[in-house]
Amino acid sequence: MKERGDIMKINQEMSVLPKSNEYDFYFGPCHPGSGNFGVKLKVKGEKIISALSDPGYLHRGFEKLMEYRLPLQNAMLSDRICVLESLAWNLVHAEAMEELMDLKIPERAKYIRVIMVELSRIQSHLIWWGVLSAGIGFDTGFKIAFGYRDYILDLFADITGGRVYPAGYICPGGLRRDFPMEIEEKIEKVLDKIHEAAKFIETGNPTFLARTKGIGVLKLENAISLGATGPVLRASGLKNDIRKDDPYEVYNRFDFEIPVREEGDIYSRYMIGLEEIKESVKIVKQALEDLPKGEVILPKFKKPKLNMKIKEGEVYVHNEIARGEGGMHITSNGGVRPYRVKVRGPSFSHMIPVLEYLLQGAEIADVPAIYWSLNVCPADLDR
Amino acid sequence: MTSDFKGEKIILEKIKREFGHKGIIQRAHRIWISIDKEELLDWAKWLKQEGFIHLSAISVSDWIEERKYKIAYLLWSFKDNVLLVLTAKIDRENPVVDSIIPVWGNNAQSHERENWEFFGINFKGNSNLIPLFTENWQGPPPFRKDFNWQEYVRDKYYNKENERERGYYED
Repeated sequence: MKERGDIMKINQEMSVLPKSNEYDFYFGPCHPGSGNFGVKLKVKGEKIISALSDPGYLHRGFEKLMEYRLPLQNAMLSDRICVLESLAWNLVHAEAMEELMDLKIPERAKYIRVIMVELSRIQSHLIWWGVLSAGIGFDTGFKIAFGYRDYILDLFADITGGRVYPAGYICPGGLRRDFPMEIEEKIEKVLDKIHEAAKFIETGNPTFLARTKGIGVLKLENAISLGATGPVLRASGLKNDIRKDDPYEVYNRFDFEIPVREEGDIYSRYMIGLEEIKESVKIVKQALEDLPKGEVILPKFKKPKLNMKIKEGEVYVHNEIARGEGGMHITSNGGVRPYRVKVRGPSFSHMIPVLEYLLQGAEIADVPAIYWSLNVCPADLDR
Repeated sequence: MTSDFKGEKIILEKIKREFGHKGIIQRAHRIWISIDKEELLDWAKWLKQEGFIHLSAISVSDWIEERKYKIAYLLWSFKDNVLLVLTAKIDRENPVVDSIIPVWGNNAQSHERENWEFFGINFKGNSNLIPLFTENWQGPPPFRKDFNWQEYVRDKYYNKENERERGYYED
């Protein structure tokens, strides 16, 4: 036990120690709000002078692992690229393989894929809102978002068997299994719940607005030159969406809008997320209405042969996933396994150049807010 | 969906006029062009002027039998909605290529860092080549085809004397 006098002495010594108010400051990888990712900050007082991203804590080497495995095994690996939207990565991988193998998949499978991926986008955007709220100390938002997200996870469990990881549900050749009985009504009910959640998100909490408006501004020219895509780029004022610009599956048959905002601050990114949830609900409703009957997988993939050759060549497939442009560049030399797989995760640009740029000159208290407003996922950066 | 590749053909014609070079239209929204690595910066500057302002990624594959690396720059044009893949071959023994930071800035910088780390390619003009993912990595660049990670893990992390880990040494 130290005596009171000792503590006073230590305090006096400490008060003479700091001569300068410049110091290094680490955000992550052990910060509860950072995920498996760190940022090294140089700070003067409360202001950040420079930031250096420090990724790699979640690097699992998927690109290399995929070279050693068959396409149907890789479908299972592709879920794990991003925890928060595994179905979207499933689809990117399946599409790339189908383009390499020249497969035309059944219509019903295409519609179900769109429904699943849009539901996945909604739950991912709910997480986005939740963690952004937590990042600025608005814990109620976090709980509401994760509560409503669970309705969608229950749907995933019914359809794919897994709440978070679908275990290659969307696989090359179609889908592992068809919708279970009466799932359409359940989806409709969940969409009503999402409508309810959107009302919560719309509330203009004055503290929330004060913490998000005019902070973390990313101008359009910087957004483009730093490689931003998806909602981050749309919040800075460029109308673009791969679902419309380079359509895949059956997106060209649905009627939906691309939300765009000019400001480029945290608030505008947050509003883009909210509007995209509404658009996704619209797409799911249309897809459910037009859902055709029939098979969901090509006959030869029902019991796939292990020595199925992949045609020689290379393709690049990219999709509009919740975070931006998610792509895969797959090369084959005619063997049964892909020769090389390159995964392009949207967070790669958002968490290295964009984040480093936005943190310069920001306040320490705004670091979590700026970080989460970019809709980041350390898993798809590290792969 | 039938497409006559109108936009893609216009771009190819412009390329032919500028460089006298032929590209391939793989499908709608996809053009593939292979060039010599010495021409890279001229192409990069011209393509950016023509609207390919978004650098999606830089992807490298290791063709060990040819003793070459194939580097692919994935470029997207928001104006024409076309993805152009610019590929070049690099000697595997002495992998050097010009950096495209003067054209695509900081975004290119981090993509180059990744490929320097995983394949050991030197990007001439990129002064900030420091590892992104690995920490204190002593082995060869890990994504090369001649790097066998299974062997590496076995030698580095398992003990043959340990009864429970002996199984990893039996093939």
